[in-house]
Amino acid sequence: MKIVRHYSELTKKNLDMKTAYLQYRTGRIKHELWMKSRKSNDVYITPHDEYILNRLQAGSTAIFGSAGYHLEGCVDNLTVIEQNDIVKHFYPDAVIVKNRTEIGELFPNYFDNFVVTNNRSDLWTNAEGLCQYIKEYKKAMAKGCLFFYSLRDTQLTSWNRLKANHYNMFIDLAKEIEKIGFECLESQMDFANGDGNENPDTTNGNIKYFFRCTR
Amino acid sequence: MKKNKIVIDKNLYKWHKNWDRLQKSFFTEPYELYEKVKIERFVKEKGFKKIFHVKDNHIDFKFDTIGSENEADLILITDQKFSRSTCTQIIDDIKSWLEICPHVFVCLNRHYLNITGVEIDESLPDDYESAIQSWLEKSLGSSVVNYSEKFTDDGQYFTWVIPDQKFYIKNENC
Repeated sequence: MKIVRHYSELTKKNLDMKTAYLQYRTGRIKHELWMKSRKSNDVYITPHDEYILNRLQAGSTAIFGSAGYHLEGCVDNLTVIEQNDIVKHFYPDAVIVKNRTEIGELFPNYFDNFVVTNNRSDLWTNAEGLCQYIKEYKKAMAKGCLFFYSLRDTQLTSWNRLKANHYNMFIDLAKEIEKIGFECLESQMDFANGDGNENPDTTNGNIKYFFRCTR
Repeated sequence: MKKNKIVIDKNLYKWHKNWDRLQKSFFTEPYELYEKVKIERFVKEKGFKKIFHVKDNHIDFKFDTIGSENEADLILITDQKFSRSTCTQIIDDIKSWLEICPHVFVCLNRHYLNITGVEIDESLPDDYESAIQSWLEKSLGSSVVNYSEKFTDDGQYFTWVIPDQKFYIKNENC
């Protein structure tokens, strides 16, 4: 039998609709909230969603790669942008992009609020790679756009967790993001307490930033 | 129409009990994980027969395991949760296991170590993988044999089936 170290040594199956949907659900934990809300008169949200909703400014809002459709009914002028075609099947209003570059091409300088929470496709990169992603998001932001970005400390790569001060690490990351053309208005960093859980908010990410686009 | 908002303050994340098997369903051909085969070869070459496996999700190892750590000739840890303990707790647990059984093979997930973020040692090497080995040796007061591969994780190395940093630790006093 073939012995492998990395996904690239294998051929991905052409998934049928059901399996593709199940695979998508595995990686999009907030999809569960949408499932719960869609047949209800209530909409189920996380505390971080509430934090964001309380701070959104008037205008248009984009949520990218974060199962943002779960906030349908809470946000006016909402554009849900995802990368997986499967989303279109259960949420036809979604805008599907293959690459981040398409976001700015489709919506140049358009959004007044831009939200990315624990986006799986933003994982497994270092601070420099993350800033490159954010540069692409910024192309779709109007000046003064509010930018909510959160991630998990465990899924940023190439840093020495035993040697680097974790707080300084993510403060430095915020400073790097500011250099792209943002002002950090608020940040929140909560690490695990060692009880076996990964962090206090694996749903949204334990590192949360709130920026304003300045240029 | 705006709906009433209900705030759910619970962790939605779920850990799959057999992540290996689920991942296998995403690919066309059958395969074995190199890291799994490596552990099987280690067990065979060293002649271990009574393995106590500390795990949180199932791995289809080709060797039998036993139900009591007290009778083990090898304690094998692949539990992802173990890496989410504090560094102090990880060392204390390894020391405790070494008191019970002189041979421990521990797999640690590099992305979880120092999960609380406060157990910093600036004297460790800059290279993270080297730092992990140094931290273990310094904390345990003994050398360890490193069975880890050198790579930059891009999330596609099956680290969440078997943690990537692997060390064989022997209690030299036994």
